[in-house]
Amino acid sequence: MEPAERPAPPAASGRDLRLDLFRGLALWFIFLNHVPNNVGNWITNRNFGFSDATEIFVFISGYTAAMVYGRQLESSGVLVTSARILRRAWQLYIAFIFLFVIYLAEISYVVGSFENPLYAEEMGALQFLAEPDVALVQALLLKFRPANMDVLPLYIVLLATFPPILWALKRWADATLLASFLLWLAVQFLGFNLPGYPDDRMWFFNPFAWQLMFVFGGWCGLGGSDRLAGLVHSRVVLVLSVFYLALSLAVVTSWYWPPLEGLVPPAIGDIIYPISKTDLSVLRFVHFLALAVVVVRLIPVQAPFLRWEAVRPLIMCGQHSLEVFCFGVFLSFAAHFVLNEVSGTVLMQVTMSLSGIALMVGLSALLSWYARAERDRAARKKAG
Amino acid sequence: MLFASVLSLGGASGVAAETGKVCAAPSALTRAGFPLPRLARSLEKKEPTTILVVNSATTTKRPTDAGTAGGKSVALRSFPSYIEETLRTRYPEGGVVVTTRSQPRATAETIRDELPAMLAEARPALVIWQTGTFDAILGAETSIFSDAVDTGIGYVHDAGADLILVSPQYSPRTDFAFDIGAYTNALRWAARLGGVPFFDRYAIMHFWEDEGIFDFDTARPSPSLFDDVHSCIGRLLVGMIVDGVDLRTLGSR
Repeated sequence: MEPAERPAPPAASGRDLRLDLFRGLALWFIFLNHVPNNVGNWITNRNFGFSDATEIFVFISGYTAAMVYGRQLESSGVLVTSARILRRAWQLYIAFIFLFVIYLAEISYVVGSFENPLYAEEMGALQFLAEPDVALVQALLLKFRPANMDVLPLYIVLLATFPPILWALKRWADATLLASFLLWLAVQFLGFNLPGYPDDRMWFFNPFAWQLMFVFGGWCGLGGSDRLAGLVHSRVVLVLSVFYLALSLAVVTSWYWPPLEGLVPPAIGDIIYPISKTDLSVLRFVHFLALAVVVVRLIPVQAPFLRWEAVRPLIMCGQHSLEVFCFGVFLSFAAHFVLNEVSGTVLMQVTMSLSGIALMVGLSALLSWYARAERDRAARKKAG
Repeated sequence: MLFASVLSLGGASGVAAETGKVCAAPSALTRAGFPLPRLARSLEKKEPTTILVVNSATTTKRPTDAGTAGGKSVALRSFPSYIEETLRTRYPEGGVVVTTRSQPRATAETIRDELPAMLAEARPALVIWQTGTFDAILGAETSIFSDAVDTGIGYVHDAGADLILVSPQYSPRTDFAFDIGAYTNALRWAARLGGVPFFDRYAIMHFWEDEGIFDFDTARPSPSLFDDVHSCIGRLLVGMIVDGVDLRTLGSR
C-alpha cells in the first residue's frame, strides 16, 4: 500500500482529519449517487448545490497526494517519488479494468435475461456497448468509461501526469497554479477534450478542466491553504459564500420542486445553463470554494468531534480512498442488481444503501487492521 | 426524480384505458403550459392536419418473432397511432394524420440536421419530438445536446409548426449504464426557453412505477405492457395537445 493512503493513528499524527472525514463522506455520497432510483441519494450534496461529491473527492485527493508525495520528494528524490506515483496510477488502472469486467458481466446478464419490447431501443444500445471485442479494447485505452466509473479514468490520468506537476508545484507553486487555471480557462472557451468511445463521445470528466481541482488541491496541500487563511477567515468572504450557497440551493431546488419552477428567470437561465460537469463549470468550482470556506469555518482542525468513535467509520473510509472507491462502484452495481431483480421498494433501497456503506466501512476497517499488523511486524523485525 | 410521488394524486388527470389500466399522472406533468396556436388554427379551419412524430423507437414487432420461422409477427401499436385514433374522434371534420419518423441511434444533433427536410416533406402543424436516449448512451455533452434542441425548436417554428418536446422513457434495467437525468433537465429547460410544451415521459413512467401502476423492471413483463404503456402515453399526450389548443382560445393562462 502506498503511503498516501496509509492511515495515521488519529491522535498521534498531525494529519488533518477533516480531509479524511470529507473524503470518506464524498465516497459514501458517490456510492449513493451511483445506485439509480435510490431514496438514499436524496441526502447527498448534489441535491443542495451546483457541485457534488466529485469536486470534494478530486480536491482532497490532490491535497493529500501533494502533501504525502511532496514530503517524499524531499526525502527520497524526484525519481523514486515519481515511480511511486506512477505505481499508484497503475494500481488504479488495474482496478478500473477489474470493475469494467464486472460491468460487462452485468450488461450481458441484463441483455440476456430481459426481454421487453418496451425497451428494445435501450437493449440494442446495451448490446452494442457490450460487444466484447471492441468494448474491452476501448476500455483498455481508457476511451470507454461506463457512466459510474468515469471518476476512475480521470483519477488515473491526473495521477499519471502528476510527477512533473508536483515537481513544478514544489518549485513555483503560484505559477503552476496559474498555468493550471489558464488551461481550465482555455477549456471553457475552446472546449477541447479527450476523445472517447463510442463514436464522438468525449470524456465525461474532461481532464483538461478537472486538473484545476486536483492542482488547486495540491497547491493547498503544499502550504497554499495557510496562505489563504486570511481570506478564508474574512467576514466578507464568509458572507459571500453563504449567500452563494443559498442562491445555488434555490436554483437546484427549482429543478425538481415544481413550486419553485419559475424561480430562475429565462434571461439568467440562458447564461448559466447547462452547468457543465464535463468541463467543471465555473459555477460548480465557485460552489465548491464557497462550501470549503463555510466548512473550514464551522469545523476547526481541532474540533473534538473528529476524535469521536462515531465519525471513525467515515475517517477510515477516507483513509483508504482507492480501495473504498472501487468497492463502492462494485457495490453500486450489486445494489442496482438487487433492486431490479429482487425488490425495489423504499425499504429495500434504504437497506441496500445502509448495507453498502456498512460494507465499505468494513473493508476500510479490515485494511486498517492489516496495515497496522504489517507495521507491527516491520517494527518487530527492525527491533529483532 | 421523487417529485412525482411527492405530488398527490389529487390533482391528477386520469384517463382510463380500454385495458382497465388507469393512465394517471400528476397534472404538473401533463398540462401544456404553452399554447399550440398553429395546430389550433389548422384544427379550427377544419383542414387536413398532419402531426409529425420524431422519435427513436427501434421495433414495432413482438420479440417472439425475432428470427423464428413461422413468423406470426404482430405489429405493436406505439403511441403515435393512439394519438391519431383519439384525435380523429375528437376532431372528425378536417382529418388528422399522424406520421412517424423513427431514427434509432440518432443524437439530437443528427435529428436537427434532418429536421428541415422532414418538415418540408410532411408539412406538419405539430411536431412531437422525443430525443435524448442515444445522446445519453453516448454520453454526449449536454451543452451540445441542448444547443441542438434549441436550434431544432427554431426550425419547427420557422416551418410554421408547433412543437411538443418529449423526454426519453424511464428504463430501470439500463439506467446503471447511462444516466438520462442531465438530458431530461436540458430538455425541460430548452422547452421553457423555447416556449413549447414539455412531455416528461421519463417522470411520468417513473411515477407509474412508484405508484405500482406498471412494473417496468420485471424480467417477465405482461404481454400487454407495451400496448398499455403506449396507449397511456398516447392518451396523456392527446390531453396535453388538447390543453395546448384550448390555451390559445382561452388566451394565456
